[in-house]
Amino acid sequence: MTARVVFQKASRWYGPVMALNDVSFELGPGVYGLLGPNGAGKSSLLKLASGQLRPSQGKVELLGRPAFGSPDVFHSVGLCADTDAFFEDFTGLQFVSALLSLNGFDKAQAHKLAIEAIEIVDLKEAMHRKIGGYSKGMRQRIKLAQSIAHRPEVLFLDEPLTGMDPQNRKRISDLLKRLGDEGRTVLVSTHILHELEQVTRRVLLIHNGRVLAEGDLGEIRDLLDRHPRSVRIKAADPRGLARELVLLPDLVSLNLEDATGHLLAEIKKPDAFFTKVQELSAKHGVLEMWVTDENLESVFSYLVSK
Amino acid sequence: MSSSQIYEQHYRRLDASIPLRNQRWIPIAREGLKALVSFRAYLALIAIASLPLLVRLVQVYFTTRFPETRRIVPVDDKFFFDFLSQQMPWMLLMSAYAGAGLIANDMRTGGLLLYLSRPLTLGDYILGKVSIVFASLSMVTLVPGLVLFFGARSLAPDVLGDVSHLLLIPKIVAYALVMILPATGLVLVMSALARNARFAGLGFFFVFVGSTVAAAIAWRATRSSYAGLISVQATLRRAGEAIFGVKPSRMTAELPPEAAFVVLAILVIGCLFVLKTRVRAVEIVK
Repeated sequence: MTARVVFQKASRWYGPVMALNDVSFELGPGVYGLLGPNGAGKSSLLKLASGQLRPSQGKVELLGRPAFGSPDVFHSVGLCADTDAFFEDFTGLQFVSALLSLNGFDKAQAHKLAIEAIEIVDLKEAMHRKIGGYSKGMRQRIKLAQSIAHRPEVLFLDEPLTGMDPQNRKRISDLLKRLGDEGRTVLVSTHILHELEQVTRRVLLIHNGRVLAEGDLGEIRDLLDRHPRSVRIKAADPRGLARELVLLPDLVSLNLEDATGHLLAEIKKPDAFFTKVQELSAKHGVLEMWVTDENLESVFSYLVSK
Repeated sequence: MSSSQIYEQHYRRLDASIPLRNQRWIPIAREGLKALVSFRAYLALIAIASLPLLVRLVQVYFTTRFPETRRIVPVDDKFFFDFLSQQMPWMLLMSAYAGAGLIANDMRTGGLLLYLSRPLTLGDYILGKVSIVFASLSMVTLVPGLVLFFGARSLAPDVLGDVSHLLLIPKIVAYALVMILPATGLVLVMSALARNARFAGLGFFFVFVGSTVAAAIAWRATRSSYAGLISVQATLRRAGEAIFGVKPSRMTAELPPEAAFVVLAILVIGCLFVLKTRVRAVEIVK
């Protein structure tokens, strides 16, 4: 993997407040999610990654150069910041063109690239209207347009789907996936987990300035074996099955759901548990079994509650 | 991050046409001025601030038609010094109009991040903003001053046609710079500190008016000739008097001109320092 974004034991504090603590990871091509509740340190991490902040300790590299103090790197970096009140008197087209001119593009190039980017985010009809009259979703899209207009290799997106209607949410999610497939590195920050599930399964979970887990969701779950995993079992004889499962040493809890007749188990060592259920499946008529917390929401809940 | 690679595509980068380091501030200045020019109030302010220029040119014209009036309104160094000094209120208005929101709006809305996520340094950003105010203030001081000189020279070649009178050009430029630079620095500092264009504008006026009031109080208390240095206005005027070599007014008579220049230089450097630290602080704390 060609690492484009490298954090090496990076820490950042504001006076006595630790915003990020000893964070290490590398990002190559593809889409990555940056997940964490408000105040977790997502914005600080994005600012460090995008060179807006100098790490108090450690190293942050962007495209092989220190992220802070290397303005040339930003020819190849796009940032969609978490702000939506700016350049109110500019039209959408003027806004994107003006920011492209800061990249050094001449007027004709900037105009052409701006229109291309605005078309991608489906704002062409509104591009001659002033941003002051844009809705929240339109502002999000014009911000996204400015961040992708110069075709950056690395994209940092802070809550890019906030305020968008489902149709545009889908459109932008597809766009982010496409950008990742094209070989760009896209880091998407959000605290809404289901947004991210539509885009990627590769995540960084951050809380209280620390990266709690990183990697694919499956890899994250492997890291979490010491935490209970929820499993739902549909069986012909749930009570008989329950009587045998309660004897397992790594079972944390077991409930019989009245409404569905399903067994809900919380387990610590899933492999051993699954093997045991397999053994008992014929005896108690196990029909279905599925892990209910494989999605980001439950992983996130687990991690931040510990 | 441990993850499987999708695939790596040879990425086609778009190369910018002006990546030169010393030109990065130009787009900021250009876009800022373009935005200002789109406001009628800005153009109206420049037009109104040009009226004294017309009055002065008419005065010069009269001196050519009626030479006896030259004793009442001599077209000399003091004529140009007075003209530029009288442009000071326009300069203050223009500073507040053009400069008060330049950094405040970016800081309030997070627009600063948009700039600094481009291939720009903080210095480029500040230089770009300084250029916008500098250009705007030049339109009400430096440009009218030079237009007045060349206009008067063409209207009254017998009065200003001598080669020695060309020395007025560097004097006009120098006094205009002495006026523009501190005003630019101060209004941008206010803009960076206030985060609100209106408060920044009010703060800027307060510094100018307040410093003059403070100087008067200090003078009454101490009777020291250096008390005038507290007043930005008096200090600017004293520097201008020294540049043009005109007799100091009663307000500035006791002020040493060297001290005035030193104070103004410290003011400009101080403003740059505050800008650099303040704008960086906003990068850190959102």
